[in-house]
Order: sequence, then structure tokens, then C-alpha cells
Amino acid sequence: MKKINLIIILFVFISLSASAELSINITKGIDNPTKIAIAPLSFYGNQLPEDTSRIIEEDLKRSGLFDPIPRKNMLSFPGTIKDIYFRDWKILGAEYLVIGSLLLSGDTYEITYSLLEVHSSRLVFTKIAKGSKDQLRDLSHHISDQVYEAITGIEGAFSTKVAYVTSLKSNNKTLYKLMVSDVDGARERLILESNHPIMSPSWSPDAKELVYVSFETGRPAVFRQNLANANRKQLSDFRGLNGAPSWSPDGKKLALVLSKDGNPEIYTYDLRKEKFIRHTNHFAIDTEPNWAPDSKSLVFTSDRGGSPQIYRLTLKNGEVQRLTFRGSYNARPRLASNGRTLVMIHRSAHQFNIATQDLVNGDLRILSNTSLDESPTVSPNSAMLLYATKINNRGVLAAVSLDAGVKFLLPSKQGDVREPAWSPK
Amino acid sequence: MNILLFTRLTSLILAISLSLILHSVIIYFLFNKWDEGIKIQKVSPPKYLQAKLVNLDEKIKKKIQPKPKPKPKPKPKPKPKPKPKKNNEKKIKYKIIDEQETKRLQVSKQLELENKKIVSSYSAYIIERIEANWNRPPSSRREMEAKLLIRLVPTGQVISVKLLKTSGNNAFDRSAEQAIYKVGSFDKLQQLDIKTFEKNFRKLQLVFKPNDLRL
Repeated sequence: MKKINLIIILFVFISLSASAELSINITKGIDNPTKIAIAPLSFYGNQLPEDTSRIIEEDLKRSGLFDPIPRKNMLSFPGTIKDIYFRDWKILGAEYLVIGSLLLSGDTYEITYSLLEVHSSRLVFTKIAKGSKDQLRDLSHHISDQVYEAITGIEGAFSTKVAYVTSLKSNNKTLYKLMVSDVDGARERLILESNHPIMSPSWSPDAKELVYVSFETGRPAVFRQNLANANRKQLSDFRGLNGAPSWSPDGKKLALVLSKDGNPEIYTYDLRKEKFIRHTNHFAIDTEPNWAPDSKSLVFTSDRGGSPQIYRLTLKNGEVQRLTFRGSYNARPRLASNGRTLVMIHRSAHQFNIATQDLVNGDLRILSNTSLDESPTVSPNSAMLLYATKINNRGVLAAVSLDAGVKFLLPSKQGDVREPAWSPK
Repeated sequence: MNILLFTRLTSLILAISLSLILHSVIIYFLFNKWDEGIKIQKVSPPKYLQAKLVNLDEKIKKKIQPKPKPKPKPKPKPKPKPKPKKNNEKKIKYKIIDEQETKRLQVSKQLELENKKIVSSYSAYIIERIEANWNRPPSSRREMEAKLLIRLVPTGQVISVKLLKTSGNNAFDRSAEQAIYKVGSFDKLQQLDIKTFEKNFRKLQLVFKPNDLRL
């Protein structure tokens, strides 16, 4: 009898499993840039001062994750969803479509824009962005951010800024300028001009202030400057080296290098209490500190092991732990906001390249193929990085995605460009 | 005399012919029965897969054995049974049935195998089409998994896509749905016979789980 029961149970199971649908596993895919069409904004009235759709297109293209469809191939420029013929966009190979319409009321622009999936003819979102008359670029970057995030799942960083230093030689004199621009290089603004070197700009977490090193007093000193009102304040004026300031993500402290006690050591400076605290004490050189996203530890370069390598310092207990072991030169560390990707200068053979090291699995990747790369800075979404390099003996800025898929140069108008610093969001 | 002889002869002929007819009828029935018995085994479709399990036990087998027979032709059975008086014949019959059973099982197994092959080769085709169209967002991670239910019509066309289980990442889920919409139609499924299609491909569960990613 037991056997019969068993058989019945078995039979029931077999018939049950037969009625469930077939399950298929998809384990591989492609990682091509997404084909996207950005239809020109529809609007009534005069020519706009900026071509917003073009700015969005350029933003997305520069990220390396998108392949925008040329405007000249488009069969129609729909301004509203009901004007869309999805077939037309399918023929062009578009996977996504961005449309929008602009309304000028008084002194404010109002852009209503939609992101649509072409193959399923579905609406992903419709949003409205508002801004004043001189904010068309900001509005465009904002739309780029929204589209980028919806499709990639990563927060966009098109609305961020870059600070950098340019130097131009003329009549045996060198003119140094601290500049800030949009990440696409547009809207360059002068922050500080000096006949003495300016170095190491670092952003405050609210992106309203910069700290940097200026030699204007005859020796290196750390300054803090508000970008909106140009108010400056000198923070340090010690004998010897005062350098490499880095603003903590929680906004409370700076990490910097001082050599007032003999040789370069890592210090933190409490911005509220205006107090310096020394954290390292070693006869070797300790320099180039940079904060972990939680503001609880620092990464820095030290040659305490015989060659420059990167170490992590836990502030609470002063514990120091070596992070890099491959190669005889690893320096200028920057921790991405994901807390996992360490970006640095790595020497391989006789070249200095930008490399990343995954702090979890230890993977080392060399991202750049130029030879004298320096000063890497990571985008706030950990997707791209900027660095300074030399092309034809001229200092220029270059960008590379963290997976090394995209590389491009940022055009500089004149002189050498160095020490880029990517702003927080 | 002549008449007497004639009548005797006729009665003799009559008797012989009668016995001949009787015999032939018996032989006919005998042969006919056997023939039909074999035919029943042959005709029985491979649905009787469960018989294999019953075979394990002799007693159960005897009880269950008559069951499949009534389906094709229930009448002829009682007749042949009383005729073969000896147990031997029964045994022979069971032996034959056993052989038939195993043969039938083999055939059904083969059919099943063939069917599996077809299903897996068309599944591979579906996988290939989707993988060639699945553009993963950069926020995808190895541990992500999205489950989708798609419905197809026999032309291979996708008529609905439904998200059964989200990966937790909207961009990832959307990329999986997009991959199916991009394929639009699995044209090769038209080659399938309708039974196989209905059984396996009308509704499909797709599990998107990228294990070729670095992170």
C-alpha cells in the first residue's frame, strides 16, 4: 500500500511540474552604448540662446554609455507624446527617445520632457524642469542627469563642475589661474589669478567653496575661498611645506600635509575649532591625503616601505595599513565615492599611468595610455575620472571612464592645464 | 443399396465437413484472438508510462494488467481465456506483454528524449536571441536577478512581457524587458509542431542573471 501511495505522490508531482512553464536562464549580454534619440525641443518664439537638445546629446555621448542618433537622420521632431510615430524611431535603431517642449513665461523657462522606450512604445517618465533665462545650460545638464540615471541606474554627474589650474608663460613670467567650469568645459570662470604658483584645489562637500595652496606670500600656504562672493581666508602659514589640502565629505575637517616638525606628516584641521592634529609620525615622507566617503579614514602616499605606496589611516586609533603591493610606485590616491575603487598614479615600465585598484577583490587596472599622467580626480558618481596629462608637451585634461571604455581630451584654450578637481554633486 | 450408400456417404461428408468447419472456426478464432491480442499491445499509445511502476510487483501487475485492455476492445478477452487451459499459455502471454511493455517504454523514453532535445534546442535559440539583444546598464551586478514571464503565439511573436520578480534595480529590469521587446518575434518557433509549442513555449519564464560581469 505504501508503494502505491508513493506512486500516487510521485505521479502528482510529475504532473504538477509538467504544468509549470518552461524556465530559461539568460546569463550573458552585450554592453554596447545605448542608442538614444534626442529630438530637438519644440517651442514657440525666437531662437533659443542655447541648443538644449544638443547639449544633452553631447553630455550623454561623452559618458561613453550612449550613442546618440544624429539629428539629420530623424524623420520627425515630435514635441508631445501623441506626435510620436514609434516605427520611425525603430527604423533608426533608437532604443530610447527623449522629447520635450519649452515654454517661456516671464523670465523663467519651463521644459516638459519625456523619456520613452521605443521598442515597447512605453513612457518611462515625464518631468518638468524650471529655470531662469540664463539657466538653459543648467536645465540641459539637469535633463541629461535624469535621462542618464533612468537608463543606467547611476546618478548623473553632468551638472557638476571642475576646478583646475592653468599656467601661461609670457615675458619670462608665468601667470597662474585657478578656474572653475562645467564638466563639459563650458562656462569657464576665473577664481584667482597670481604670478605665484597655485596648487591642489579641493572642493567643499557643498561645492560652494574651494581650498587650495597658494605661494603668493612667498611660501606655500593653504587658503579657503567662497566661490560666490570671493571671500578668502588663509588657514595655515607654517614653516616648510603646507600642502595637499583635502576637504572631508562631512565638511568638518581638512586633511593636509605639514612639515613644520621636520618632515612631511599628515595632519587634520578642524574648521570649527581651527585646530591642527597630527596623525602620522614617521621619518619617511607621508603626503597626499584623501578622505574615505565616511570621513573616518584617510588614504595617503608614503615611502615608509622603501618605495612610494598607498596606505590607509584610520583616524580613531591611528592604525596604518598598506593598500598597494603591485609595482614600485603607487601614489596620489583618490577614493571614489563608492569607497571601493582606489584611483592612483601607477608606474609600469617607465610610464606613469592612471590606475584603479578594487579594494575588495584587489584587481588593478591601468586606465590611461599616455605617459605622464597625474592628478586623477573621480566624478561624484564614480563613473568617470579626469586627470592631467601631456600632449605635444602641453598640459591638458583628459577623461576616462572607470571601466576604461571611453577616453577623451578636454580642449584647453591656451597654456597648460593641471590639477583638476571634480566637484561633488 | 445405392441410395443407402449415398445417404451414408452424404452423412459422412456432412459430418466431416461440419467438423472441418467447426475446426476451422476454432482455429480461426484461436488465431484471430492471438492476433488481436498482439495488436492491442502494439496499438496502445505510449501514455501508459505508469505501467512500468506497477510491474515492480507481480500481484499488482496481475490486478492492473487487464486495465489497459478494455480500452481498445473489451469484448474478445473473456473468450480466449477459458480456451487456453494451461497455465503455460498465461505465462507466455505475460512474457509477451512484458516484452511489449519494455519495448513501449523504450519507445516512449526515446520520444521523451527527442522531445527534450527539441525543447532544449529551441530554448537555446531563444537564449541566443535575447542575449544578443540584452544591453545591460552599467549599474548591473552579478548578484542581480530579474524574473520575467513572456507569452508567445505560434508565430513566435511576443504578445506580453510581465515582470515577476524585480532585481531591485529599475534600470536592470528595464534592460531585460527591452531585450525581449527588441527581439519582438522568435520566428524559428514557427517550425515547431503545435503540441510542442503549446506545451513548452506558449508561456515562458525568463531569468535574467548576468554571470559574465566583472562586479
